[in-house]
Amino acid sequence: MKRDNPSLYGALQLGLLVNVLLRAQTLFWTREGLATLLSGILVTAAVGLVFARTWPLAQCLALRCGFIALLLAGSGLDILSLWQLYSAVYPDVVNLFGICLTVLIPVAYLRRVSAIAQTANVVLGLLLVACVILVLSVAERLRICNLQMAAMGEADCLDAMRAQCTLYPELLLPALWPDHEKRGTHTVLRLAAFGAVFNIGVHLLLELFFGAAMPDARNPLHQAARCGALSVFDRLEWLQLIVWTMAVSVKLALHLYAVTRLADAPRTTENSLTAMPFFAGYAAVLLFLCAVARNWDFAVMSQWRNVAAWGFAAAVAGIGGIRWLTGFAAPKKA
Amino acid sequence: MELQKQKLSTSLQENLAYLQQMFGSSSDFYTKQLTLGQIPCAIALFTGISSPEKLWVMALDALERCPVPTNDGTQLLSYLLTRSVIPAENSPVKDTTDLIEKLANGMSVLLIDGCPAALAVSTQEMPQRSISQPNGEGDIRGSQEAFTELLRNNISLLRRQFRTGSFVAEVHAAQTHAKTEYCLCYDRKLAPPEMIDTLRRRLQEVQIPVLLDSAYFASFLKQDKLNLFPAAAYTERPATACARLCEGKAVILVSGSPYAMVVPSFFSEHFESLDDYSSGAVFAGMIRILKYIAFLLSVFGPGLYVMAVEFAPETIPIKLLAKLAQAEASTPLPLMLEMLGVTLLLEIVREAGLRAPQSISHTVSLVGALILGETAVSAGIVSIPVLTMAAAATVATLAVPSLYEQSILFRFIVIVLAGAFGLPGLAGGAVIILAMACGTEPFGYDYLFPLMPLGRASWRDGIVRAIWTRLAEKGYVVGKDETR
Amino acid sequence: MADRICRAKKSLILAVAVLLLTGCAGRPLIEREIVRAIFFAREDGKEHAVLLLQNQESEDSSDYEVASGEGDSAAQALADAAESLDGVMFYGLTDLVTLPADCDWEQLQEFASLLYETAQPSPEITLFVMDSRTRDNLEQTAGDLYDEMQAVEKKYRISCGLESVLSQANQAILPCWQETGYGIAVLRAGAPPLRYVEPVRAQLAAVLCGQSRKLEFVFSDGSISCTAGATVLFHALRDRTQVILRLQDASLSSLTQDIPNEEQTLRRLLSAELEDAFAQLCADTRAIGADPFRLGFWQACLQGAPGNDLPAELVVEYA
Repeated sequence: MKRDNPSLYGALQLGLLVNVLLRAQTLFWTREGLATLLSGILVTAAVGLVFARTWPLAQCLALRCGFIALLLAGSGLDILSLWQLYSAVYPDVVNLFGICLTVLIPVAYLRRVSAIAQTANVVLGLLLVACVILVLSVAERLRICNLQMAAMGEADCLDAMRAQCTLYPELLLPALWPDHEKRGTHTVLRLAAFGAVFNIGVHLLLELFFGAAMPDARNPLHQAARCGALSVFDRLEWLQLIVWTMAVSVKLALHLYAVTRLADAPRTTENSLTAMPFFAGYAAVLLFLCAVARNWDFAVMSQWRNVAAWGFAAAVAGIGGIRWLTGFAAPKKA
Repeated sequence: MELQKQKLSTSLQENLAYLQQMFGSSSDFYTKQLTLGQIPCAIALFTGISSPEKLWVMALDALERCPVPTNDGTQLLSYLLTRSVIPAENSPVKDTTDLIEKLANGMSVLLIDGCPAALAVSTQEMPQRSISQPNGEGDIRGSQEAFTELLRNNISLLRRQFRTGSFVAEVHAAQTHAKTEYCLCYDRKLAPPEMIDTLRRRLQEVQIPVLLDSAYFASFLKQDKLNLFPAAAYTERPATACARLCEGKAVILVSGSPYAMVVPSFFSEHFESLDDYSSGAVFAGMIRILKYIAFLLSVFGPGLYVMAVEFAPETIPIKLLAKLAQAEASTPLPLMLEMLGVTLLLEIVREAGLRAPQSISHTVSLVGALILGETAVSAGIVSIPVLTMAAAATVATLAVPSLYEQSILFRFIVIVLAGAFGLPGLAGGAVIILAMACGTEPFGYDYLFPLMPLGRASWRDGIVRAIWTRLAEKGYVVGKDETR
Repeated sequence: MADRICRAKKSLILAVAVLLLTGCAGRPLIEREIVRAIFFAREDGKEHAVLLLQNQESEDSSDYEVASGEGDSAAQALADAAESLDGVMFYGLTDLVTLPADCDWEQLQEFASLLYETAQPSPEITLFVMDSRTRDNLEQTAGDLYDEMQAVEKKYRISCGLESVLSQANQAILPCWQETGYGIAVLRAGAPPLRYVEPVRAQLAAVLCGQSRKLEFVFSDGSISCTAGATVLFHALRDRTQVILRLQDASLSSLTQDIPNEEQTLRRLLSAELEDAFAQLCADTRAIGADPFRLGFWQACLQGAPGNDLPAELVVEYA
């Protein structure tokens, strides 16, 4: 009940779930995904761990700026993917500016670590409950014989491996904050495993539901959700969308916190709030990014973001490794 | 204007002149000069709040019967303070600020010639309202006493229920123009000392022109001023205040206010009542869940309706949709504005009914109900489904009266966001409210405890209430069960 | 301090104004054209779309309006129908789509992708293959047809959602509308569609491919009527695939005097009829290279190879 050491582990988990729910699905078949699961986990966890070790040694102004850019790009992509989802479901009703406002305004109330941690836990709980409701509501339509039986191809396995090796910022973020805001020493490993297993679980659900049509389905999770009718309402996808939107807000708040730390921005001493002008700046940058990139190819942007994340992690690992070998003393403040 | 603090003079006449200058024009100010032994003295008091009869019984009678053994003023004061049977205040009055404070508190002051100090005797007899039933907190069982405006009475009401040596009632004067007194009550053994120290410090730092209610302190205790959730809870029941003291919380009483402020306050407390613990656990649990549903309905109901009709009609069963379409077609305003208008009108009617003199408040309510319920619908200004939803939300608000202000404000936020942006707007509203609740940290504690994080405590006395045998095993105390 | 409060107030007012100006995109119900069903038809080389719309003037939910359009493609026909209406199309409550009688696998894919793109936000759309009605006929009978199809869907507990018709890579099985009950169409890529109108075969096929869990038919010679709940279990053996059809609460009755109304006799006759129907279905579908009952899948799962040439047998059990 006392908020001495809020942990951001829940917020990181939520960030990974958002990645899976909004854009990572239908990239591979479940069987291929399962075959490459372990390697995917090990690769991403290893990168995260190496990054966590080398970041304190390597950090400099340029790398900090690079990380901030990566986080801003990730936040922008999250907003754009949410907008695409809404545009597909409710065409001509919700505009990009509206989506930006509705996910960014709540971040004004999520400028404190403890608020992010607690809200993330609640939203994570809601998201898991919503997922359980989704699975229960479509359980009748899940057919085992929808699983694809074609022989495993090398290309499919590579696709699955590539998809599972996507380097999301959430795997790099634990390097930024002090130990008490993580959870234990194996945070990155657990996060990687959690994200990958959830990703496979979602793919399994989709394959059982859609069968061969899975890769062709636009916003497949939403389409599955709309078939669920457990309540007095005729359907459930609106509930899913509400929870996903809430999760995106929390994810943006997490990114704001990380940007605040990276930029060493002012935080009030009494309650460690990120200053309002800094938040306003963050929101303005995201609005600008979204406005610029609204017509760009989303798949290409996602790929570039992934390439940039890998490149950034490699640069940090390289510089940190060299400094470690040459006996560079890390500054005390992470 | 701050009065300058100055020492009392050794001359009785100078002191009397000072008092005459200060209060001479007040008709309730009373002085009488007398001689004790050979020493000229004077009694000063305010007749409305201090009793001359009490003064006679407590002091003058005794002084008349026992001869004064000295002719020196200072020795007389020392004699009266230490050796006589007069129940005087322990410390003498040495300066003019203290003198005025004592007089204003209803004490009688004995000024002695040749002595730069005076003697205060507690002869208060204040006009007061008798202890009555609480108006705003309806409970069927348990104590039916309510706090009154008199601080001393309120402290005694608490002490009567809290009969341990660890109960502490610290009386302080606030930094107000009127020097209003407040009392910080807590249990020395249960309340976390660092919390009490912080609270004491913050209350002493509060500078406010006037202090008429304990709620005035609340804003100063708030960490995040943008947060709409209350920083404290209020009760007019000594029994509830006593229960909170047993949880290790602090209760603040302010002179002149019949409401006690409880800090720290958690979200789940607004859904609890004394009756929960008197009735059966199953029933109490059900009522508590109903209250949570009522709160959600009051906040999200109208917004959800606007969102569903304007943006996502697919969520509404088709049979209902046809009726809603007809109702919507018969009114001129967009649905969001219609809902805002009806909700505002309901609030105006409520406010008018509350503030109007009792003799006409029923008329106000009746006219409001007629205008809204009958005329507006038949004139086609508002539709029946909107009116029904707004009225249901208003009624649901009353199930959790202590969160009334928040329910109304949140409802407006949700209606505007859902009406403007539909589904993402509703989600934005939900996450703003959630973030406010999660971001509230009363004295560093989780505002959502014991609801979040979900654990055994949530089911023992949070979402529902466990049976008494389980509750009795380990009652929760602030700051002492952080592991759950 | 006061300056800061003033600035905060101004910002708040500005934010509210922005909210109201940028939002408010909601649409009144009365401005929406709520589509309940779409009937596609093909006539004289043209595609036709007949839309069944909710009558917004009426409080009765079963009061409909009809709009129609034509074009070279189904998408054009749908757009043409939409253009003839004043309001904004709303497909969120569409729950029935019928396809032209001669629809094959390739056309089904086109219709499915059109529906995925157009019908948003849509619930589960049940697909039927229509009989050979003309557009005029559809326009006149659309409302009644919709109600009848809903009744049949409910009666036979059919579920053939849009999401499930494309769950197999190159084949699909769809219910067909016919005056009494429903038939079944088996569509296979590169092959002419198979259509079963006879109730026993159609309902057995629907049960075996998971689209229905109820049998309610009269034998084609009119001798026996049967009503039963049905569940299916697949056993993949080395030399054959055994399909176990378990009938619950079976109610059989003889409709002629030739057959005694004895439970055992009726059950034996029903089993024989179902086995014949199953054999016929297997033979027909194999002939066009289709495997609508996923027998190959179970063979592959349990025996390691699809075993497409292995024989299949139906075993009827009574619970």
